[in-house]
Amino acid sequence: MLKAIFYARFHPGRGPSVIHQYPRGSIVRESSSNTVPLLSFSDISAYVIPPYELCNQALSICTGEYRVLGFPISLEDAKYERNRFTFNVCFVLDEGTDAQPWEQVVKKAAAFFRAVEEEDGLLQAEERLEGLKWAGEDGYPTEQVGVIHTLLEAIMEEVNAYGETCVRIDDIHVLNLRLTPRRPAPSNVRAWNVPLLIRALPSPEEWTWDLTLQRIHPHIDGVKHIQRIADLADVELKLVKRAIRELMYHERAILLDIFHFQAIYAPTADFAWFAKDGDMLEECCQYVTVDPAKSIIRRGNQELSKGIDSNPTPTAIVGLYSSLGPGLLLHDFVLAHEAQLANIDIRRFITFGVLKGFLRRVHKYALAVDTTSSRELGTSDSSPSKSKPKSSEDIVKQFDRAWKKAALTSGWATPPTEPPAPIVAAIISHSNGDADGVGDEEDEKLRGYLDGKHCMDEICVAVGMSEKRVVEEIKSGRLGEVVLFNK
Amino acid sequence: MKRSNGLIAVLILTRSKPGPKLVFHYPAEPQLVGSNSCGEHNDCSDSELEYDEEPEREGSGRDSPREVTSLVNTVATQPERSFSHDANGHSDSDSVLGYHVDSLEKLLSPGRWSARKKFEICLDGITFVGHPVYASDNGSWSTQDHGTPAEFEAERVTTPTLGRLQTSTDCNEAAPTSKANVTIAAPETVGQAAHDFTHIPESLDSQRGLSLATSMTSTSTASGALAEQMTMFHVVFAHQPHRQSVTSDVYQHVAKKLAKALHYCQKQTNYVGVECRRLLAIKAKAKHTKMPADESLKQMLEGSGLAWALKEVFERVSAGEIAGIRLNGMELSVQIPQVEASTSDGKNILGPHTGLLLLEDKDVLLRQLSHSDASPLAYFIREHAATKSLQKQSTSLNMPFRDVQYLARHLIKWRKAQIIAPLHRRNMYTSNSEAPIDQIRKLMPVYGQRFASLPSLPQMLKVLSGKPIQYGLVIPSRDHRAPYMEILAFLIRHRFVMQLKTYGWLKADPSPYNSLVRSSKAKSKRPVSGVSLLSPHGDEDSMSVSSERTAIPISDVQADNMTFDKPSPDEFIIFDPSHPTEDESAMLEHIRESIPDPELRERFSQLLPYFDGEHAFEEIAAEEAMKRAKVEEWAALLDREGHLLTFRSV
Repeated sequence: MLKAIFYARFHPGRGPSVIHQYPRGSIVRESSSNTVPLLSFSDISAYVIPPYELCNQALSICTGEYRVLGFPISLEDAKYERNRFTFNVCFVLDEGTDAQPWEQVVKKAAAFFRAVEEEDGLLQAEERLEGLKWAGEDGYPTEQVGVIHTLLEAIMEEVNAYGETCVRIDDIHVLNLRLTPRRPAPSNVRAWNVPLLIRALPSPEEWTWDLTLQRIHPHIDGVKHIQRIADLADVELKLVKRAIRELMYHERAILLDIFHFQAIYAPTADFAWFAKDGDMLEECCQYVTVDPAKSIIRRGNQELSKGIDSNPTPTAIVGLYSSLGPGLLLHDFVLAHEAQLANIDIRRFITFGVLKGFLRRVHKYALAVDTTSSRELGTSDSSPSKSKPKSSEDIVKQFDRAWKKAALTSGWATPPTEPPAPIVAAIISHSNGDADGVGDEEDEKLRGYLDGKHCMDEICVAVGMSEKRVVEEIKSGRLGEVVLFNK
Repeated sequence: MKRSNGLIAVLILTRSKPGPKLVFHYPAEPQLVGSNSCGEHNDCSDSELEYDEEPEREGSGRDSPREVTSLVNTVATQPERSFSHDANGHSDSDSVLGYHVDSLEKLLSPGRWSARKKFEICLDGITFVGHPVYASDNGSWSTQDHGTPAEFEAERVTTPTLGRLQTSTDCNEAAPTSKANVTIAAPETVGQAAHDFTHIPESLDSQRGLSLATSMTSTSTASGALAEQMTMFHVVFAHQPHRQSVTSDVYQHVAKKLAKALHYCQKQTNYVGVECRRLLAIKAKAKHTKMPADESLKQMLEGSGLAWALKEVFERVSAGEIAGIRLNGMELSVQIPQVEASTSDGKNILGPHTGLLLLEDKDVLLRQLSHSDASPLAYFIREHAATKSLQKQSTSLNMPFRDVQYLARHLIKWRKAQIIAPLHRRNMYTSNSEAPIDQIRKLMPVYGQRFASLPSLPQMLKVLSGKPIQYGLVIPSRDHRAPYMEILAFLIRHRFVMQLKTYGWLKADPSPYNSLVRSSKAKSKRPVSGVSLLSPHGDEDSMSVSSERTAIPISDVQADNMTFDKPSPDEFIIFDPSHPTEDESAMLEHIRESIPDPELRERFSQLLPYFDGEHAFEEIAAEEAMKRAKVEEWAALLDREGHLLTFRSV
């Protein structure tokens, strides 16, 4: 909430002075009213009008309980007295208010005032107007004379009321300001994350989709992981990640983990809160229930369907969720509660819990403890995670970059866009170690993930094997002693 | 769990008659976040694409897509900042953080209006926060004139030694100091004039009259050296990017505390004045002899306890650690308290039944204490056991509970201990989702040394991350109990495991007759079929299964069990047993009556408040002074009777 806004300049005769303020008496006391100024301008005047070196960049200061956001502008021109004109339009906020969204507003306002002065000399011209009163003088503000006071008033009133404003001074100068609340940066998107749209996207007719989004949109179904989407849509992985991150920033999508029956889910402390919330339970029931008409159970036994005709009750749902826990594979859970799960879509059942935050996925990790048998482990502090993506894509890109650079500096007419294939192949095979056989290569690849920092989902997606096979591979002993653990 | 606070520099400024002076700053060339990303800017299109490969860059400044545009904009203003760097190859000593020292001096020495208040400005993304301290109006700092020495003593700092000059480390520097008084004035004022930008008509010194006034009084009271009389000092911390919570943390816990301590030292022995003169002398000498920057920094750090202390504070605090410093022989610790996720939920209040886990070994802690034998703290640490609640420790130490609580709080504040539920072999523990696996290799030898011939660290992690079991079941024999509890303490201390607690509610069936049926809730009883669909098939199970296939088909086999297994739709969970509705009261009464165990029947109402889904069953025994085995037995009984619905969470 904006508390006040004022326009101050360095006056050759009077030093730093407030010329306009809104509301009245907020910065400079007015003799006619009893309003006590929010702050003492003389204290902070040196920060409102700082030395030139510090001008033309954001400068804010806290005083008392207020934060004064400013963006001092200093213009150098022979037409000004002492060849300089220094001014600042300052926004006063409560000190506790999050100033971050305002910073852009202040900056844009400053740029606007600067443009107004540079192009039309409006700020200087206004002071020469007959009958203009300065803040603090009797009769301030003078309606009909000058535009700045009206402008300040509009900014403060409209931004406070609507979070945005649009003020037109003349045909050319229009000030548009909008307060955009800060949003947290979305978490990083991994190849093994599963994006799920939580709100429909605006239709392509009214909102231009970028090319990546156009291609990947049909594949975002809350089931496929990023790598798969990239493969299916034939889009580069990085672009998919970026598009999904964008959707997450705009709260259109969230990330889930890969759903499979080897996964483990455990309730969090929030579960108590969920169980008590009747509406939430109702929502959950509706979300997880399989439409009996479509249920595959129906297809078979007519007799059977009688017994499971009723939809799951909230109590049953609570009961089911609470029997999940660390160490229990979803597979085993389903077997143990098969009957109760009859009308429930198990994937939705899990997704709902994860979405609402009362379930968490417990991931499986592998840690190679046998330090002697493994090549990578000697340098395990940093290398495994780095050596892994180095494998192909990065190498190609690095090479590509170096190649182009060399080509451009060498004076060749047209730098080749693709590095020669044999070289790339050589580099890749080199980075993968000795490529004697396929099995060896796989082991080598797997080994890089056995530092306990890569979850099984990640490994599976990266090496393109099922979890079962990866576990078999690990237990085969070829990779030394490896401990599997969940966390 | 360290949070980056983005601290980029610490500066100390003084104001005396010739004007404000930047006495010392650390590090010599602060790293700007902004200028870094600016250097990469040419490569921006690439780095932008690659962000997801580098998790550590997560919070670095890409708060929003808009950051990118603001970055582009700041580039425009950048040249003047980086100019001084480029001009003569190496960093220009006249510029700090990209600004001329002169400008910074003016900017960071506010007028008296700011005295002993928070001073905070944000200049193009760099936030400066400090707590300026002024001499009294007549220019004097001494305690006799005014001011209450008790004021700072109330801050709980050990009584300082009242030596005229410094701690032992500084003794050999005493000579240069006295020389400094004489030599310094000349070169420094010259330097000052040389830097002066005559084209700057207005100055940040909005209180010109002030220094005049002080100089008059000082000349009238003392010798010529007092022309340099310091009228203000200001320790400023610069950090980036701007986040209000960080700013207030840095101010509250570091800047203010440090300023108050320095003020106290200044009042006692003119500590800040002397140290600053010394630092300025070294600076002047360095400038004179064209000493390289790192050499002069080294000399300043070695020559001045204050410079060393500021360096220490900066390095520790920016790393999220505790800084232990000595100012004028007085010990002081500063830190930005860590708000751990686990403490923020309000559950971790130091009650009589909470336990304490020391985060360092006892002998290490004891060695850190200066009077290790006598103090109650040492006694407390020596006798501490992670398996005992504070109440029990208070009894066994014969110490009032309040004192134990106080000591515990002290240890927690200085990150030597954390709150836990007392370790118990009947508790369940599970792997922590934030277990620091990257440290496991570092910790394995430490662990191996302490627990030789016991299961290795990864083995323990594996065991505890499987199906939850009581920790006691991991312990092979009674003799192993002590070392295994030590292992547990080790694992929790290093955040590998945490306690898994049981919560639950009572449930009842308004129609009591079929409660028998549900006693068959045992999980293993289910006939195993439908496996073909649910068990992993080859490659497919790493992929997801589409909706249609995730509903469970029921084969004929289970049809018979069906009706028994399904919970009656009428079944009812009592979520708030402390405030039951009329119906619920009747149900509770019914449950109570159906309990075969007479003792449990009697205690039933006493247990009721714990069946609200928010109280861990593990805590009942301690809170209600019952036997754990008994409570477990009762819970099992209620569960068997189908009256209990439990879940486990950390």
